[in-house]
Amino acid sequence: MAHLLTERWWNPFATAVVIGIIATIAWPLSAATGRNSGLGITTPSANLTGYLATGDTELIDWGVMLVIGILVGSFIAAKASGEFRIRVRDQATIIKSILGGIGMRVGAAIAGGCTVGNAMVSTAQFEYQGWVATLFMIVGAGVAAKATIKPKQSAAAVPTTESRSA
Amino acid sequence: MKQVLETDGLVCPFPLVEAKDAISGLEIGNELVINFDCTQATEAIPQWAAENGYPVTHFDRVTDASWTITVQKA
Repeated sequence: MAHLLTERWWNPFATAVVIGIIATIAWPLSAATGRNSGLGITTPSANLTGYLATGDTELIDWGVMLVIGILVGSFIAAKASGEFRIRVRDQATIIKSILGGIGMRVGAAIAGGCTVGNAMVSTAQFEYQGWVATLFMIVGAGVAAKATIKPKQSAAAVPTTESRSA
Repeated sequence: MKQVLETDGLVCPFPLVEAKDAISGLEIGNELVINFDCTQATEAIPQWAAENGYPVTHFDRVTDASWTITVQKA
């Protein structure tokens, strides 16, 4: 079990099926607590921030617990797999990440939901909004990848004096 | 001969992008040591090596979230 959870490589499609099952179970579980909607990240994390700012416990619902659970769960999984370490990226990457995060927030506000809300939940509900959003997320990611993913000219490999180890 | 490519600190997919770039300058039979610390590359780099028929001569986790892989140009 430990091997399966922390070492073995998971096929992305098998992982997708597991996530699909969890996303399905999320509906009745969330509804049982009086919150009648599926998985969500944007609204619950906005609620979490709202709670931290105002102390209004009304904001703490199933969705907020889900968001906290994702953080805690990812930490446990990464730690157990030996993949956790605090890594500081370079300035340019940090700034790009912050701008990207702000962009995603604005996008989520315009689209009425984040990537999870639109691509996972809304498509599962056969809502036309979800499919339009998903299509443009793929197009946007493709354009951004083409524009930004290229090797740096300066980062050439340095020869080493180390002899070969056969 | 071996060449070392340090990509620690680079987010995925950049270690792979840099590796592709670096290996193009190597002669057949020479090895490229790629040090990286983004998890996704533990899958992406071996897959790229396999697709190109490059043998992976060494692959190890150095410490938490840090790996080294040696790919031979073929």
